[in-house]
Amino acid sequence: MMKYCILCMLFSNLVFAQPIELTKNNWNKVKSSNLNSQWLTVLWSLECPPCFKELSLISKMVSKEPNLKVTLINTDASDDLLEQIQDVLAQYQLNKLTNFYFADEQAAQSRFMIDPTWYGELPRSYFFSSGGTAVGRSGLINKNTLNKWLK
Amino acid sequence: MVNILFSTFFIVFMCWCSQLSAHQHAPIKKERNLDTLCNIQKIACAKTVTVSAHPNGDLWRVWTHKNHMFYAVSHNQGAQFNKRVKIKGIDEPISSRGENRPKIAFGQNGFVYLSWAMPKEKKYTADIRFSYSKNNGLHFSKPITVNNDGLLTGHSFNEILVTENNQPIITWLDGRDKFKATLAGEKTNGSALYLAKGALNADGSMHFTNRQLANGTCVCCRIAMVQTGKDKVSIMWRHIFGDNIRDFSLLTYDFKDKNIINQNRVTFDDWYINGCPHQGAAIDIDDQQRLHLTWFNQGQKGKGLFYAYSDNLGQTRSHPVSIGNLSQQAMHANVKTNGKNVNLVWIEFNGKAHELWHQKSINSGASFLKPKIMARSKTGADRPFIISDGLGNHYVSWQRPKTGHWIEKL
Repeated sequence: MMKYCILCMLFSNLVFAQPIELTKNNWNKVKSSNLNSQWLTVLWSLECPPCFKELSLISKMVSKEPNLKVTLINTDASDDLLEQIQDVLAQYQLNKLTNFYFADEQAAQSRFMIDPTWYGELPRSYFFSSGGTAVGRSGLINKNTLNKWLK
Repeated sequence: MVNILFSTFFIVFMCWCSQLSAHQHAPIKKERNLDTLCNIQKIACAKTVTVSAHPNGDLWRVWTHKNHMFYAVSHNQGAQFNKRVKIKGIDEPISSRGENRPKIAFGQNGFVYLSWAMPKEKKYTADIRFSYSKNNGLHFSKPITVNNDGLLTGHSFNEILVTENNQPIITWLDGRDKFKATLAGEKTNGSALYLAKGALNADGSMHFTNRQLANGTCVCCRIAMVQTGKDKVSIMWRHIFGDNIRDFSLLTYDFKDKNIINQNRVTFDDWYINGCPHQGAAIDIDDQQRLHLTWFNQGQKGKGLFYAYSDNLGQTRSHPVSIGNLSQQAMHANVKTNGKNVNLVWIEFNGKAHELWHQKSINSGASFLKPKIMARSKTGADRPFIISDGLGNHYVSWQRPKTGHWIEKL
């Protein structure tokens, strides 16, 4: 019975996964839980057409390999847009990944926490090595680079 | 057996749950005092505020809430604003975030001109809209669409100015050429820069001509426009050079003769990005016909905020000087001149609070005095702007969402 409960807890997280407001605490948790593996964080906005190309690429990769280590963070920092954000994630079938969003009017604070040398240009991708260090890149990342990093 | 039955039931249940979650995600509900407060039309809740000065020196500020636009007027240099007025007749989506926001301008005759982008049903499509008032904001005309292509494509990032002859000039980023090229199977990159000049019809309504000025512009940065002669405007925008190098161009357009006088690349920072910088430029011209430019880049050759001037409408320009603290995210600069004074404002983030900075030159941009902090915000921070009333007064306007609109005379 115990194993079902554990399984149930695991799945319930997955099934009811919704974007979570980004905090220092949960950002640190994601980083520490991904230690010892290569993973990717992509920051995106509803107001960034190229971001949707990157979401689409990730969506295709996730459909082939659902356990891909990708975290998505929406940067719109507006509670008014939460429903639209969820709609996009559902549309691209990315709502089962770990999804965060910047808290209302906390864009600069959130950016500063992730990387004080990033100025908000999008899409922004962070390639985390297994040692926990990250390299940030701005602009659309091509499919081969994404594939190579996440394999 | 019980185990098998339980497993089967469990798997079926989980499958049902995942179907449910895929199709009916519950909206995130948030309950906070501030959010509740912000469900009303208070200016503190607005993401953006635009200020412009009436020829009589009054300051008008506009902002939006849901499908409506509001304005409030100050008769005492921004110390107080009268009660907000909801503009009747505007009931439609209005872009009012970041680089893309409603604009207000005035004719010498006191007419009030409004322009905004109205998002449409398809993502990244919008129309440029326009309405004006002949009686000091008492009534506004029925909004009309300025772009004349009738296409469901992008038309956004509108800027407006009004000539001495009370003609509104509107410029914006337009997706029609990309739309047509895509239909024709051609591959293009970016939007186009369009300009429209308004003229009054006999019945008092306004109509606009449309003219393409440049193609291959960045799609998500504001445009900067200033009148540089009786019939001339200069426009600075982020252009795409070659393979996604996004630097700034500047052109001067004679709207009487309808020709582009000159067009030059004016920044050479080589920012390579196949994405959205969300960082436009600002320009102004002084009475010696010197253009003052400020911009942001994260290029191979230049990173951060810069200022330069040009004495020949962008053909050549001074060596760019760095503005603000790059380590404190200095960005979103604005510039205005007043005789030999050149005022720059921008915002920074020190890790805890946003800071509004001001730096002044008293020798037409040859050198600058030490920068100073003018205001702070612990909540949000909109872009700051300097407003001239044409009577020698300059004001800094800075919307701080959830804290309030800050305005002060320079």
